[in-house]
Amino acid sequence: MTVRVLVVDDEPDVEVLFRQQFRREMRQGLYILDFALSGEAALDKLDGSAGEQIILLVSDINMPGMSGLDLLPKVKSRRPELPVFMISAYGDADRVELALARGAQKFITKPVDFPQLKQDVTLAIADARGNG
Amino acid sequence: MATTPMPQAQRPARESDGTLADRFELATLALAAREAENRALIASQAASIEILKAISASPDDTQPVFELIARRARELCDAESVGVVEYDGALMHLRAVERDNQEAVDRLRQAFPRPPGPDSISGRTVLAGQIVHLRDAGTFSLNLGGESACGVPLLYEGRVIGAIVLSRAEAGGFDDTQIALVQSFGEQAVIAIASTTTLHELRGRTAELATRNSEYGERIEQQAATIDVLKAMSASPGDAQPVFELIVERARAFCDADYATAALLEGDMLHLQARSGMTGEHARNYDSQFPRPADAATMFGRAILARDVVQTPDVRADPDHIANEQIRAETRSIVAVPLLRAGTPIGALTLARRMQGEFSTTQIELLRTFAEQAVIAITSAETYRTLQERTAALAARNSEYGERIEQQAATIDVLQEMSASPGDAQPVFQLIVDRARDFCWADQASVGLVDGDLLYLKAHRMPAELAAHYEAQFPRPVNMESMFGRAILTGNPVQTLDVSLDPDHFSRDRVGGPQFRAIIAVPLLREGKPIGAIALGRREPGEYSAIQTELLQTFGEQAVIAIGSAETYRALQARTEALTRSVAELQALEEVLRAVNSSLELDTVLATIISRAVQLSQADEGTIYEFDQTDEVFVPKSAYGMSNERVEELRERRIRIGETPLGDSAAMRAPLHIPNLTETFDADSVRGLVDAGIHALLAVPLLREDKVVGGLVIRRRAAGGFAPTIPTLLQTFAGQCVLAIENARLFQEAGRARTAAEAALVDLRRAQDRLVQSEKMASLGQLTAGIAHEIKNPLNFVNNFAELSVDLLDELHEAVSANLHAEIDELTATLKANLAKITEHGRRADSIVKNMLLHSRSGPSEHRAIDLNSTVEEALNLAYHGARAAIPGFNVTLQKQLDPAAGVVDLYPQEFIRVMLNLIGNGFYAARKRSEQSAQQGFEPTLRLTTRDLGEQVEIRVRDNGTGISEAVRDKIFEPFFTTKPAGEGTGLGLSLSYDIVVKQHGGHLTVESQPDAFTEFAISLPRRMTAGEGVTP
Repeated sequence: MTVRVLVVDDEPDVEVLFRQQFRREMRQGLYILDFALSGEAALDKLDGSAGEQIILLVSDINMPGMSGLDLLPKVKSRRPELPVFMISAYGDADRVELALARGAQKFITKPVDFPQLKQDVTLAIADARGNG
Repeated sequence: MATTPMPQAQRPARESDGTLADRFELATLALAAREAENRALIASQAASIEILKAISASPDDTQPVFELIARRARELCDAESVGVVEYDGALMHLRAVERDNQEAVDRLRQAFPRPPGPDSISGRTVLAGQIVHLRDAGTFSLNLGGESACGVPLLYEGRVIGAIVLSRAEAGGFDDTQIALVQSFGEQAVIAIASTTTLHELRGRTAELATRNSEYGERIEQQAATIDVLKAMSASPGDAQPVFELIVERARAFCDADYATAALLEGDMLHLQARSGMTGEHARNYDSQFPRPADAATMFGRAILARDVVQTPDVRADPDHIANEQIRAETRSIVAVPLLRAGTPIGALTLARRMQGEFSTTQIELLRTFAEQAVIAITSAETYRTLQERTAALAARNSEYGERIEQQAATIDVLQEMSASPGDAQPVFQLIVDRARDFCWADQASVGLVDGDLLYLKAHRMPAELAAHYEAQFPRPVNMESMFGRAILTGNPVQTLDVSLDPDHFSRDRVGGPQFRAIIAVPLLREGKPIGAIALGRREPGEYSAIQTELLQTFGEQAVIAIGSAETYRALQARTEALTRSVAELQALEEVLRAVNSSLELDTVLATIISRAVQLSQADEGTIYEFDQTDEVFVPKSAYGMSNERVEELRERRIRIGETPLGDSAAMRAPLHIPNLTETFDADSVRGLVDAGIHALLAVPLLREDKVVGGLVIRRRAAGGFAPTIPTLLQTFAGQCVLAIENARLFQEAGRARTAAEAALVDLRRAQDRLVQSEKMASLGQLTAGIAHEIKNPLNFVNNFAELSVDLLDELHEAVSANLHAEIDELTATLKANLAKITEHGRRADSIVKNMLLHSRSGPSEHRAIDLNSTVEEALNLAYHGARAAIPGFNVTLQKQLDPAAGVVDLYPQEFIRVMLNLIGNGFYAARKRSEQSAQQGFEPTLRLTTRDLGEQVEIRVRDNGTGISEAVRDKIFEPFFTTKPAGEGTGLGLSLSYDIVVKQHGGHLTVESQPDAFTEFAISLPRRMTAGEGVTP
């Protein structure tokens, strides 16, 4: 079964960057990276036809419109079991705590440590599969 | 008794008795004037009597009377000329003229007789029928000559019958007394004219009667009869009775009557005046009918009612006649003639016969003649009596004046004495007893006054050998044992002819007999109440005459007046003194008030107060203390009349509340008045004061709202109290001290407060500067955070793409080795794209840094021409990045409507950007806040930035759809330190600084429009070019 990781960030270059970083995993067909430029777009994807395939959501916090922290409870209300990683430039304790309280599994501080992220994604997918 | 009053010029002038003395002097002058007036009156009365005598001396000729009147009037009225004019109803006749200039007299005589007209004073007077007084002739030419004139009409029974005219060379006219005198002369002239007329009428009537008699050819006796009557008239000019007697006698005889009667009306009643022919029972019976009403029941009544002759031939046939049986028996026929005066019946004559039948016409006519004569007799008797009464009254008045003048002369001495010693009745008493003793031929005279239950001897005059024993009797009870007591108790004059025979008199049984045997005492009555008595004593028994009694009463009255005026004078003096004192007090108070108000120098004020307090209260020294609230002791602050050493002593005493009179007064919160220190205090406890010679003091606490703040003490060397008004006065001064101290304290406090305020202002300015600086730093800090974040993002991309590119280069290397063309192309494209991304994000970071540097540049910037749109856009970006960096989840939709025509504007870029950052920052804050508060789904916080070209000006608008600004705070938002943000979030300086930058630095306008929960829009308008005077760096 196809599994998808949905990355939410208002910076279009994030997609370019992620696709290059995860090019091997994607080539191997381990998972498909999906991108959304806003919270609203992310929710649309979750509610869309391929929504079920999304097994991990990685979202930036600072976004115009719906922020990552706003998006988080909406995602959790739809998919309580869906693991969510939050990314922010500001790793202050308040934010981390807020994010975790709202059900985030991980809090990632920029700059993103991509090797670590890859491991975490792999583990999360394994968990999801195991559970599934 | 006649004592000439001391001429006014010789009366000693007194210096000290002020107003009252003046009053007495006036009284004395008035008295002298009255005396002169009386003398004038006497002179005029003497003239009147002289004139009346002239009238009686020449009853048939008025000429001497008029001449006398003219002469006396000229003398007494000090006139230049006097004329007496008689008026016959058509012409005025000059009857007498008095004037020195004979030529003028002749001229005047030639002017008469003349009809009365407005061209002369006499004519005016006659026409007016009242006094005409011309005080200043002006252009009016007086017949008599002179500048002023007065005419007095002669009035007889309401008719003008003449005038007396006076003139004077000077303007000013005549005084009331003179005019009154001329009036009196006028009356006399009228009497003279009237009596002459009466006499002439009488004579004329007599002549007429004589003529008529001869015409009728009647008996010579008739003439004789009327002549008899006339003779009787002249014989008794003041009494008509003999004439009546004669008339009835003659009438009965000449008319063949048995009876004749005369009756006169008095009111409504008839009184029988005379009868003839009746005797015995008949006469008594007849008399008993009178007085009776004048009705138709008698012939008298009928004649009076008819005003004409009535007769009845037979009384018995006359049912209306009420004559009683006896009179009827004696009388059958009656005729009655009324006595008519000026047409009015005043009585009637009757004739009656025993036989019936009518009286002849001749008889009736004769009766008429008798009736006329009776009327004439009555009238002339009346006139004569009037004249006599008048003369008698004048004579009486004259003698009365004379007596009064003598009495007044006697009492002038007393009055003078009163004015000489207005405050003291004693000299008056002494003078009174002297005078009373002299005038009443007594051996002693004395005045006693009641005080309480006892009578005290106030003054006496008696031989020295008697005085000691007499004086020893006083004071004595007021009882019936002394004449003094009797006069006082009865309130009336009392006298005893001989004390030796008076069983109740205390001195009757004196060894050697009473000192005085005949004593008279008169009470001194004040408002009807006896307050004492004045008494005379003679060693010989006897009576005091009525005149002496009266004189003694007069002296008594004067004694009472003296007592009253002495009291009045003393009261007046007391009032004057009180007034003087209170004026002085007021002046001092005013001075003190001025000092308190004008000087904040406490020492000066207190020195003024204490000096005035001491001077006013006639003290010798005084001290004002301030109460030291810490040490609780009184500290001397100001002193007057005291040596430094003594003030130091007082300081060292450290007086506490409850100690010394000062402390006591403070404890009582009331003035403490000690008239005699050593009587009130143990000498040791007030040793310091006693040593300083102080014997009396007055201490007043200084109180502020019942709290003791000090004390005021005045001291006096002489023992004895201060005047009763002084404690109150001193309290006023104490109040002023409190005010002064309070003022000084407030002034000091104000000084301290001002110093503090100045220091605070300096601090505030510093704080403000720091705040302004921190506002800059705050915005800079925000920006730095945002900038750091924003730099971080592109840097991350640069790093990531660079790292990836290194990996991709490895892959490319492998692909080249394996000669995998497709892979090589793909990798090369990716690498190229990555390098482009690195470049792009590097530039992005560079731009952010540039902006940061631009904003953080310190020091004043230079104004220069800049592109408006790019500058505002840059500011928007900076603000946006700053907000994004600072606020988690910051999200605002930005709208830009930038007018391409906005172009280039001359401005201070750094300050301008600060304004933009501030306005945009506020907009973000408001929009976000509404977003947070709003329950509304889909609310999109928006900020719109607009530029517009306005020709010589440009406009920049910053609009947000946030919470808005309420009307209440809209006016305040440009005030420094005003902020609606929670504590710590705003300095309150942003808009204030922005306003200064836009308005003061750039010469532009900054306005705001807002609607709560809808929008806020700030509008900046800027001139494209700065003009001179603008561009000042704030």
